[in-house]
Amino acid sequence: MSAESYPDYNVLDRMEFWDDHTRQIVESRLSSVPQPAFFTKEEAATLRAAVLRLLPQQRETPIPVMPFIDEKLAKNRTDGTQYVDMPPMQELWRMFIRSLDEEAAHTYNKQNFAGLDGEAQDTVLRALEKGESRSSTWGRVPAKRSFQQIISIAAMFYYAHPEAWNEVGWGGPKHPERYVRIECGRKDPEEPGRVGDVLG
Amino acid sequence: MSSGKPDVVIIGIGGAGAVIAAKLAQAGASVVGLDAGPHWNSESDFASDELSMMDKLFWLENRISAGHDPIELGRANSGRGVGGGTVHFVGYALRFHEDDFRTKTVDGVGENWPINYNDLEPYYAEVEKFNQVSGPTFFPWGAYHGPYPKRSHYRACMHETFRRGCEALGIPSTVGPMFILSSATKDRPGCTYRGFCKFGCMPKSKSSTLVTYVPHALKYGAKIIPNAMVVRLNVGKDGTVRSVTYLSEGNEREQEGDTFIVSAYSIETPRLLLNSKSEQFPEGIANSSGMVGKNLMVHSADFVIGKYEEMIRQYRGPQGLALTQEWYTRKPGDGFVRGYTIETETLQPIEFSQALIKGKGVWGRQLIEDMRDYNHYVSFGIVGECLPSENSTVTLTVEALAARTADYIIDAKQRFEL
Repeated sequence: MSAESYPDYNVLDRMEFWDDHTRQIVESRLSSVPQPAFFTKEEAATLRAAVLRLLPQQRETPIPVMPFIDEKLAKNRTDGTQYVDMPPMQELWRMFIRSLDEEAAHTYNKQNFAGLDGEAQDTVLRALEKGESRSSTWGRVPAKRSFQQIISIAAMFYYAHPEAWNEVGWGGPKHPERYVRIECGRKDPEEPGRVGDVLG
Repeated sequence: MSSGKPDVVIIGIGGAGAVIAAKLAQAGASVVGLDAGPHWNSESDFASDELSMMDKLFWLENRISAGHDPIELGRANSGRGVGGGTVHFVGYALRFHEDDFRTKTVDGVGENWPINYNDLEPYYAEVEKFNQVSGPTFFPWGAYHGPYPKRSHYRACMHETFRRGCEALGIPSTVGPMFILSSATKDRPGCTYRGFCKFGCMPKSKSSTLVTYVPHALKYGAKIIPNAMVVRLNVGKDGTVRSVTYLSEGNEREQEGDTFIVSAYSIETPRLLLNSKSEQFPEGIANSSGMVGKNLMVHSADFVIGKYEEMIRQYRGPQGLALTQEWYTRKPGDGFVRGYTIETETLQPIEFSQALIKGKGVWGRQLIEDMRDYNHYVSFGIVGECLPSENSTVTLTVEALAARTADYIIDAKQRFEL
């Protein structure tokens, strides 16, 4: 089974039926991408390249992820857990970026991660994930847990974007409306995808 | 309140504190409730949006997690704001079984409770009635099989898929009793199946204390002060608590009272008691035994996801509903003691991506492709228990902001033995 797609679906088509608060939140997410406040220009370039490998997309205007990470760190909006063997959130992200560049320098003799081709970038990321990086910075954190924390945050921002909602076929905000045809093999008219897949 | 000093001050207006406030206020006591977070308005503060609600409703202040097997404490672990964790709990309204109070006798682990199921039974009945819990015609496990005040919810496709799977395996399953209205009451509508129980229920169908006991408490004259982070209990010369100090918009304020009830969750409660050290109480309040912060218990929360040929569309319906307690109690031949509940727990897209990343270890093209099949997946949770252990401890860190950081250690050995 090849991955599902919903070429004709646009969750925003129903926006006028959403409650005011949800509409405001999503409109503002689409219209005001945060301005750089935390990362240096060089850090931002490295992270932007890494995010495009962690969550690859072919869109002409990619879903912005890095600017939202920057904003989260600038405001130090923590997630409630700091593992004792890991640095505080802001420091972890800086270490991640430094490690990507260090590994790029070690393995490919490149100035920075962003200068590598996609395949080489994936190789660098895999080395960090597996804890096999030669970066001395990354040697100081638990590799797998740190790596997963990084992707989780990036994915949070990616899957908060309406274009990603279209990609996965999410039915969308449903208040003050409601879902009615919730049984297997049925769907409401505005929901994406096929109907009558298997009749219950 | 006639004078400025209330009979009772409650710290933390969540799952417990709101009930206490309502009961005491109705009984005629003057009550002041303090909560660290805002007093939410369901319609204008909540939204059908995972990301913004995750930042808003969860207790996200930094907690340091240590130990052999450090656990994730953030996100849905505890709540922020009036209503506390009930604002984002899934809403299962399960009673304990009789054996849960006697684990030492029955299974040789843990401790027996000083009370038993029958002591609690009238309160279960009262809470179910007050909240108009919805439930099945017959609940197969434990001491209570129904009836419930309201009919059960309809199964969305994921809950139906769970039922079919259990049936194929010969395992009994049911729709659970839920703190979610299946039809309207005088002041709240029935569930609209929008799938955001864990992110604030906009129609107020889910019976969080925010929309049940809190309005009840206010009706009987209780005063609730939101955005009031209590940092210290102050003791008078006679050795009793006289007041609390709380932070409100960066300013220190004081609230006096006759009686103080700390109901701030199993991490924030010990943190507050431990931080209230004085000459009289060098180890903190209520800690002559040294037990404050010890034996912290969490529940295990494992996940299973499964992919189907047909579209499940798990975003619809109450986030929890179908369950089985077939392995809740020990059976001969089980290689473990105590047990667990298996239950449906729908994941909206962001949470589902987190499950794939942390559970399956995917990223890159694989993550994107797995996510594109989101509508084909089911998600089940396995909720088990942990044993009390003195090694599972909340302690204060030594930094200057000691009051603001709890150090949590869980003993991995105990966890894996279960």
